[in-house]
Amino acid sequence: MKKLSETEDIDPRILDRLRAYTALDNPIRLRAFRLIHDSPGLPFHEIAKAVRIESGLLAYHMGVLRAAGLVDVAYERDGRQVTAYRLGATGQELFSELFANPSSRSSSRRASVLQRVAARQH
Amino acid sequence: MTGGTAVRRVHAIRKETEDRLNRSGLVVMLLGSSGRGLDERRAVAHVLGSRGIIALVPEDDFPPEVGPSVIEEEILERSDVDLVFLSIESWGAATEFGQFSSNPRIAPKLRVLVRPEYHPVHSPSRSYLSDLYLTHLVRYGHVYPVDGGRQAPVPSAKALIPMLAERHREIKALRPSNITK
Repeated sequence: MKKLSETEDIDPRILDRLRAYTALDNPIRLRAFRLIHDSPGLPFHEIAKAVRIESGLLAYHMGVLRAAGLVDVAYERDGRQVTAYRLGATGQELFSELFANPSSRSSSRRASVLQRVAARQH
Repeated sequence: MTGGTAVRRVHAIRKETEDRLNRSGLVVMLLGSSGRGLDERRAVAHVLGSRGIIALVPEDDFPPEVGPSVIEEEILERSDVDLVFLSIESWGAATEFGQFSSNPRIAPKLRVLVRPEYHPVHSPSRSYLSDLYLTHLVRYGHVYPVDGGRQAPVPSAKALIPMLAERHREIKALRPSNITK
């Protein structure tokens, strides 16, 4: 069996991307990610209304997006405490890569990422 | 791009990255007590994050509109979380252990961390809790002694959790059928 490289030897940017794409590899999280991009500062309860899942499960999905470094969180008080989400710098970058400017996106960017991964492995 | 197309594209990029790295993406939950235990979980989450693993600390990552104690069992049952590390340092965490270990949809993901003096292999304790640990150990094999200090040479949680998570995602990537769900 091929010997695995140590995680410490892998480019941290590639590990960040694995974390980010693991987070986005779920239809609910991807939908929330797009909603937050379209409405920066979107409150938790508005996301819950839009994606139509129980707030407990949505709390988990929003936690994953946050722990993956894709969204930033702000706590505001509007009678009660409100958690509001916006894309962080990594989230913005990934959004552009995935959704913006279809003609220039894609295979070239993805190939460059994978080439970097391959270069570290060989 | 439609929603379905975007989902497929994200999945394809993830799989290609995983295949190249021979490592799977992973989502883990770090549960335990507050105070020093919370500081330690934050430190572990930082280590795991730097390795490309998503590590959730509910007190930090879940919105306060939803109480973690109310939602955890449902989340652990229904979400795509891969591993749940539970450090038992308080009666609250011990209660959670009892709840999760009796749930067949959660128990296989559970990795239980206890101090050596309560671990059924390392201690002669015959308490009810130690007996529950023994049952979980025999059924699922995932009860680990941690933080023994000078008296018991076992690893810290901060050293153990990344080691277990790292091996889990290697197995998940290379031999996914070997992962018990």
